[in-house]
Amino acid sequence: MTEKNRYNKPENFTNRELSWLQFNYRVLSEARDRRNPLMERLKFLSITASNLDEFFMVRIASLKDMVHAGYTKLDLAGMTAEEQLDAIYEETHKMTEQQYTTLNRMLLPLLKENGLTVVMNHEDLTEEQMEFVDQFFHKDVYPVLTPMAVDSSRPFPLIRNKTLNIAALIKNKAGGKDYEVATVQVPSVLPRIVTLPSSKEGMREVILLEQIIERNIDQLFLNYEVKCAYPYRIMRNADLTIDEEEAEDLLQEIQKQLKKRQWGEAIKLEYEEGMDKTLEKYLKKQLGVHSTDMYSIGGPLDLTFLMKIYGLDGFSHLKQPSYTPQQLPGVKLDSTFFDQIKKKDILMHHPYDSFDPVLWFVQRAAVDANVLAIKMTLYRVSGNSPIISSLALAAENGKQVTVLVELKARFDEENNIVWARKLEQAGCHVIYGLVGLKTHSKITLVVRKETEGIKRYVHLGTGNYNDSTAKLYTDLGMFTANDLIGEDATAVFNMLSGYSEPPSWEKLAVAPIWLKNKFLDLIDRETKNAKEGKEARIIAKMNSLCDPDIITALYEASCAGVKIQMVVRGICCLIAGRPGLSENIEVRSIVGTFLEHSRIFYFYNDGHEEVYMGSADWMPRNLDRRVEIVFPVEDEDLKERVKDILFIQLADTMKAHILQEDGTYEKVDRRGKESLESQLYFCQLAQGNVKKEDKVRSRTFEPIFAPEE
Amino acid sequence: MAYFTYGAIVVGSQEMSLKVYEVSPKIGIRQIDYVNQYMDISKDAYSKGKLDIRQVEIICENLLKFKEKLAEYNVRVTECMGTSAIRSLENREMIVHQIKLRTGYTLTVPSNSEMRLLMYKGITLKKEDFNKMIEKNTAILDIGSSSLQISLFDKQALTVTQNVRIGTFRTQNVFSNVEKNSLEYFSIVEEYIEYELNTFRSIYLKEKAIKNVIVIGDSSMNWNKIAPELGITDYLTQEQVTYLYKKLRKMTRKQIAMEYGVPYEVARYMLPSIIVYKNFLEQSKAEMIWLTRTNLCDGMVVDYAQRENKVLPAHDFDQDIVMAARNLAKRYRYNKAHTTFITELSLNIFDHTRRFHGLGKRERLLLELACLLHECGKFINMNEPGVNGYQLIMSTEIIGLSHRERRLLANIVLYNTTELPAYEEQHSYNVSDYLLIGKLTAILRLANVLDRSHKQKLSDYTILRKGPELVITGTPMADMTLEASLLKEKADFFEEIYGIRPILRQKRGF
Repeated sequence: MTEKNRYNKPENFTNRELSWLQFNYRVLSEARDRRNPLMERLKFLSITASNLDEFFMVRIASLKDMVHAGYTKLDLAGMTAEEQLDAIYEETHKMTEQQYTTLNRMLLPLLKENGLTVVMNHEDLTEEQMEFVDQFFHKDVYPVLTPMAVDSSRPFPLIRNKTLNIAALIKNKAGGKDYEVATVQVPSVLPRIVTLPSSKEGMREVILLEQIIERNIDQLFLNYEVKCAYPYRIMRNADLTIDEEEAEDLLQEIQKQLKKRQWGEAIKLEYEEGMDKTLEKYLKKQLGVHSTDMYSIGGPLDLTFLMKIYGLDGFSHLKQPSYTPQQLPGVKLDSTFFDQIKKKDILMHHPYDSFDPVLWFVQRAAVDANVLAIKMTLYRVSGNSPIISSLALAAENGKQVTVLVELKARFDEENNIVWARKLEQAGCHVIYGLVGLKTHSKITLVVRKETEGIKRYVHLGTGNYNDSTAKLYTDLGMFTANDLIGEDATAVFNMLSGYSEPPSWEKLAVAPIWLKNKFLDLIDRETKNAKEGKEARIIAKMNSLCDPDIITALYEASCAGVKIQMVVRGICCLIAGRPGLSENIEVRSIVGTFLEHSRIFYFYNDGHEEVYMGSADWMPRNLDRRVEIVFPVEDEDLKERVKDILFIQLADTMKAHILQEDGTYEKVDRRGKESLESQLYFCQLAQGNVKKEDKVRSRTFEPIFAPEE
Repeated sequence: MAYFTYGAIVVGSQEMSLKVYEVSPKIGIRQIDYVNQYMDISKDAYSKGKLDIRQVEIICENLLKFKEKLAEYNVRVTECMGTSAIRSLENREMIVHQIKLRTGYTLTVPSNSEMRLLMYKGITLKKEDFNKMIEKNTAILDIGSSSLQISLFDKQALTVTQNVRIGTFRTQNVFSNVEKNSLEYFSIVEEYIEYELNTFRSIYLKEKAIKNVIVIGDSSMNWNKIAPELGITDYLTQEQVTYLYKKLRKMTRKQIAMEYGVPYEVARYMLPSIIVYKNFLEQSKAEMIWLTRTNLCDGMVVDYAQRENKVLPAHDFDQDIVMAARNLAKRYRYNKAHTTFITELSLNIFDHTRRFHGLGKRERLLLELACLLHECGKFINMNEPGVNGYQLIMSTEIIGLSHRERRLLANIVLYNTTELPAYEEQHSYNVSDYLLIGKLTAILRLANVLDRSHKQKLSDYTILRKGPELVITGTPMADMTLEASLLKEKADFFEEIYGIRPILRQKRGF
């Protein structure tokens, strides 16, 4: 058996879906963590709900597709699609239960203590509140409702994906023996939470919209007797793979698919606990849902409404104080910006450092008389992005502007199409992605005519050019005027414009063709060094780790004695700390206020340390099916800064969860360790409230492995 | 600004390339962008001799895309060339015209010999020590889709250049019917190539040992895909060539493309290339092959920069052309002393009559070549040197010359000994080319007659223009009566063209 095959066995991998569920548990644990401010806990709970929704629509849906298609290939961990689904159901039901326990037993009572009551049942309203609610119903809700009864002449209507609905059993007052079913959608145009007139001094009270409708449901079916009414919600298959070879016009195809999305197969039915059995059976049959996909919910459906509660005025003492991204010291956003880059590379750690330099880079390029061309990849962009306006302005100013718009960014297509059109109208060359590949790289190139010749300025990042998510996601970005990186950047855009691949790359590693081998080579080099008895070390931070080749190489490295520390926020198919396989690998996940999003790769390289950053996770989809860029950080000061970021994360004791050998995660055992919350520390560092030296001197170099049993 | 940007576009047989350069006296030539678009016109071009309108449209679309790229750098000068596929088209003029109409680009189509020289110029861009490399017996192989050009350099100058018809497409096409059986195919192609190279060796190489071999337009990248274990940098040793040869000999190009992940277009030239390398190394006894990833674009920019005096040339390519002509003359047993003498005299006359002919550097070079070759026809038949010389020149490739220039050259040699017909009586030339032939022929005839005896009697002379006369004063050791008596006719012709009359004077020893 070859070295590689020895490690590449199903028992050495964790199933990616189960690993993802572990991640959602970690988010959920933040909602359950008493140390977090109450409103933040609400937000975390809401995130677990929306995460789970996406998981159903994409992952479970595609597993179901596999089952339908009779696909028998096993996953990394040796499971069939059916086995995976069975394992997932068990977890998702358990998770749902835990979500609602958290809400009902922990968060709602705490909210009440803090002066906010969420009235869960309309029966609990006071007289005065009932009066208010009924009036609200007549004035604002009734006009937008479309109740639909179902009988032999009226088939069961289409229930839209992710919408909240109320089903009722009704009987004609004029006679008729049987109960009929009726359904009505809770309108998404109205706010889900309605503030009630207060019944008690100092207490704010709110009620959910569906409760108001339930209370007044008989108003909708005037000649009928309403026996009962319960909310329900369905989830449909949304993982649409677009056949690009056949799609004449990708843009049209996506627009078509967007409409289709609501028609997918129902893969989950949530309904309020205690729903009438007749009604439950009826819905199950009509929607064609399996028993395992039925979720009886002990509380309000669709917990994303908690985000709205978070947004209520006046509870700021229950929230984490909001953080204002800081301007980078020493960087001036003025006409000398390009000269500053030429002098020295600039590193930004978002959201601690402001995103403004990135906006300024494009904005300045749009008006700078010497700029000839701007090229940029855009993946997910905020609605009214200043970047879009700058690019449009640049085109109007006669610059050559090329923008690659990735239309295949999941769930963002509708948004993308609108501004892509806007750019085209302004005279930009818009490329709508590549057939068969998603363009995930984040790169901007500015070509400038200077006295010494053509000069290129490049911004490379780990996160999207999205000024709103830049306030929530932790990402790294770098400006450079390095000629070799500039040449590679040009080659990247040439490739994206449909030209042949360049003969060679100077500095950048580009997926899908070259990147994986680059990583494997870097890992193998450490393995080789360890075998020769040299110090060998890898530190890698990413969102997900599930590429089998990379994982196998890491096992091999671990067995050779390479010390490997990983910060993996989400999915991790690698098994950590297993003797004879991965005892030198530690995996930690940091779940905090900001979404950890940066990808950093550190290799000790026998003392000639190399640091890379980029857009790619160690996932097959990133390495094989996407255009990704990983770039070296070569400026010594910048390299030190990036290393410090890694070390601080490795020393986090507050928000870090350590992957156990059995695939579960445990919080760091804080005994005897200085407590450190990395995200908070980075905020303070950017604000200048702590000196770098304070931490860096005491930074923990020792790996923190799972506590002894 | 102290630099300018230049765009070079090449419409090749299988791809279109654009390179953008920045040229400045300080830094020299710097490539700032390079894009490549696969587009195979070789099949139609070589087998049908025609391109259909759809293919022209694709060429134009690509050119317009290139135009956008050029705008990104605000490029002011762009030149556009077609290679052998375009050259071999029967409807070439129509296609060039279509392209001009649709894109505004004038596609020039250099002759094979012009193109090859441009390729050599391109090497100087990639290999700064070009002059050092060609110090001692160096062969440059340029494998194109229709033919292989082999040139030998010695003492920094070109000695021989020959076009061998074993290009990658041609070989492919000739044996396409046996391609499926890879072993058979390989050995047939090998036999074919071996024969051609053998002929070349027996004529030109003889027992000369080649020190360096430089291959144009191949890169280590592709060979590294076939055999990453070799870790090829920018040269291939004989062992490496043999290793690759063994590895590829059992494969078809499809297999090569699939197995090693090289583009299909690349796989197509790998088979013939490795056979050429192996055979050439064996026949020449050289030890290694240098690979240079240069293409025609590089040559175009070097040529442009030299023409416009933007940068100093790294190597005197005009001298290569002269050397090539001299070697040709040598092959036809020229009289070295006579030829050298009249060449010098002609150029002297040319330089002294600048005001009257208004010709430039390139025409001076043509005159020099005409002088070198004026007698080569005698090799065939002493009595008809003009007609035979014309034929020999027309069927010989002289590196660096366009087809038009070669014809001009052949005609100057022809009219050196035969009468120049009246303009109306010929149909080959426009007025300016006709006049050019006349002007250069007049000088050649004059110089030639002044050494009619082939004895270089006019060893020490001065040239001086005095009013309507061009006075050539010699201090002859010997009797100039023969020359003086034949001068009249040539002088009449000279006067007719230049309006000044050449006079021969002899300084007497009193």
